Amino acid sequence: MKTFKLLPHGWQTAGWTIAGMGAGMMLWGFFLDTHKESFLVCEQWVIGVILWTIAFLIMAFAQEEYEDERIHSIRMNTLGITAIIYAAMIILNPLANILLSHIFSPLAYAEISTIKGIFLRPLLIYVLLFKFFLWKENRSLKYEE
Amino acid sequence: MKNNIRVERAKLRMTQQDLADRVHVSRQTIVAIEQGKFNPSTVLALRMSAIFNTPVNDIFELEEGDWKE
Repeated sequence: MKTFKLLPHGWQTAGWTIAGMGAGMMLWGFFLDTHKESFLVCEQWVIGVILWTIAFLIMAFAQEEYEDERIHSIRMNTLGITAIIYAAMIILNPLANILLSHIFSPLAYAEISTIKGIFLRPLLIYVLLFKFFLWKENRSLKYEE
Repeated sequence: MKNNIRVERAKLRMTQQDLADRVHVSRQTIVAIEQGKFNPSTVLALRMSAIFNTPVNDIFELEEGDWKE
């Protein structure tokens, strides 16, 4: 693709590795944290969310094995759908925050929800949707023998 | 959009991978185009036309549904 520079394909592996590390940190935080009312902001959880944000940022901007116009088309469609979903979530998010802040400490929840809401969530939606659409498209192709 | 890429390939005894390599796309893209699941760009269509030595209009054909948006 001449007009859209992406990271080499190898960065996808790095992204998944970092995502695995992030998932591990979140699980560790979940099981080890003793302050159950604020488990969302224990150190391991925050590190896990940051690692996931970095991981999905890398994966969002890394090439597929073979980048051509069909992949570019799927990528652009996915971006459009992600924008619509994220816009809907922005509208619904304050309601969720109000509800969840009654369960967790409001200030503590505000910190972690900012990282998740602004950075991680759109990246997560985009990468997962893109992978799903790519898999669905490739699965529907019938190859000649 | 209908196409007869498969027929044109057969005339030249070309596999999907051969054609993909020559027009610089993946084999999945060629398969998707042949099955009507993806419409090629103008540049890609013209590349195929050059390789098959056949006018673009003879390779690709609009269907009735293509006139509606």
